[in-house]
Amino acid sequence: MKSVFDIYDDASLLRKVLIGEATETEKLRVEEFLTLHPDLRKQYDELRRQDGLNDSFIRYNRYSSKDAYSRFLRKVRLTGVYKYKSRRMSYRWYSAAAIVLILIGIFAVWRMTSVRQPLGHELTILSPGTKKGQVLLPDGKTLNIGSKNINMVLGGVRVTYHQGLLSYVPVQVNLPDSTSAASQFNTFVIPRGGENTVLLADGTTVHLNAASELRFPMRFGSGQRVVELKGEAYFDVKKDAAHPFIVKTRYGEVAVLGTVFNVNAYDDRQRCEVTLVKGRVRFTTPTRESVELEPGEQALSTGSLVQKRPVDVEDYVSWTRGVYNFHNESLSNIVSTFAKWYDVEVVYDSSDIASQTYTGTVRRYDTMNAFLDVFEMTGDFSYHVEGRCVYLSRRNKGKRE
Amino acid sequence: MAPLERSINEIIIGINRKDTASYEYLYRQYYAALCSYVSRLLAPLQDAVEDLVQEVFLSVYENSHQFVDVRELTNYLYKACYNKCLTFIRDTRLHSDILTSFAENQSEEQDEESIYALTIREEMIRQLYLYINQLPTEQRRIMLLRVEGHDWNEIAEILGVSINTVKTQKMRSYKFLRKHLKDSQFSVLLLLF
Repeated sequence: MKSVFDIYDDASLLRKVLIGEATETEKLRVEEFLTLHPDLRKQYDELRRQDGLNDSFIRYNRYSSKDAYSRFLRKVRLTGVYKYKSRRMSYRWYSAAAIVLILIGIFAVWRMTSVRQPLGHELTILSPGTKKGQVLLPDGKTLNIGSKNINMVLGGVRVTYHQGLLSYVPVQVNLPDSTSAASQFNTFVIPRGGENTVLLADGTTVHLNAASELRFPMRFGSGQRVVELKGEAYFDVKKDAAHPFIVKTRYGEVAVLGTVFNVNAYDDRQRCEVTLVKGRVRFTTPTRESVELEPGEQALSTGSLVQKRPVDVEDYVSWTRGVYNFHNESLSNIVSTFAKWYDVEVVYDSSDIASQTYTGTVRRYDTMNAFLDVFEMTGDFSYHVEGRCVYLSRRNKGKRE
Repeated sequence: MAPLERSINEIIIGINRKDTASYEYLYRQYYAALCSYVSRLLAPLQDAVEDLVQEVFLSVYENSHQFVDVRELTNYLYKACYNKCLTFIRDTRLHSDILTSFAENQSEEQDEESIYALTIREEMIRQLYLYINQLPTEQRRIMLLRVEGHDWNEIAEILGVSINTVKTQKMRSYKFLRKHLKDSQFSVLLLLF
């Protein structure tokens, strides 16, 4: 097929003329176009004859997109975990304690045999999170953020939500701090099973994960830029050396100049991880312990103590790109991440399951079933779902066929 | 959720992120059209139609390509289907049989022309289906008559209603379509009618 053809645009233009709402210029263009392509004129005239279009519509009924989509889901659920990370696999790989998902192996076996039946019982599909959230305004009102576009001006700041981005853009500059929105705080609350992105008035973007909250001024004043975080967020801070950017959490605060980093400070994990992608940050605990991070380093804080360690940054920030990387991660940590994203409760039937570790990569926007199916394939567990609750039961390995 | 409650741009973001729920919308909007298209290309080999189209959808999911807009996505889908057909025809060694069915004794250039026409035709039908088929029965009939080239007076006569009724229904149709298309980046293009 000629690469110059633009199927969508050409068809859109013809469609407009067909419905009879094209402008005169467009009608002329189509006339020329059809003279140039006699084959197309034939097709076009065929559609215009009596019932021509309706006959084509009826033709569509032969094909069920619903059935095709179910077949698609069955296929991708089997291959939902698609990538295995091969780094540092030598020693730990064989360690008896660590049971590792041999993803490539499983993947290859599935591919070659394709014999695995859909699971016997009908599964409840656990869908991933979606764009949602609520902004709490200083006057006590709330704005729902997710399905509808927003465009309004509040205290000299234009607040918009469009194509998945909530943005705050000052429309009046140089207002004194006291009268401007600098003292007006908004809180962006993301429920379980949600995520969202906000562009702050200084140009900083914050990608908030499920079950997280960010409190920030509608516009920043003349001093430090201070925001408060509960949960997890990925920050890309606009560089502005004169106004340091501070992220406060209950485990301490991150001070930055202009940089990219991830903060994971969920209360249920009783600790905070600050992972630096780019730039330089200082982390200080409420007890004034502090560390300075270089890219590739992570500060780990319990609130009173803080330590620094080198990490594979990808493992901590890949969620912002639609995948989860787990590297020798305990099941309890994996599950606590998933419980928030899929908005489910996970129940184990024996406590030793929780400490087993896994390595692998999971697609964030797949259903949770895709991940759980792989679990079943390792032979360690089986699962079943009741409502929003997932039960993991240990399997006796010796007794498996 | 009704088919058009998500804008095409939201669907494309979801497709790029491999969010399987977005693929449901992709199937709703393209599956039947692509099957109809492939079935025209393959003429006598109807059994393979749905499998080939399914492979195209899976390749979108497995590929890391990030689509920019509905235009790129649409062009990609038709081209992928077309290429799949070519490969299939080659592999099944039915090349000569098939060729006779869509372009007997034609030069390569003419052949290309006829495939181009076939592709545009299918995409026109797909877009019209997506929009017209959503409309309530009365409005749908008016639009179908409109496509057949009747003016508003003729339509009123055929349906045995007043011209004003036709015009009101027409306005409602456009309003309906606008409401469903408001988020689309290409809404301007789509809404000029």
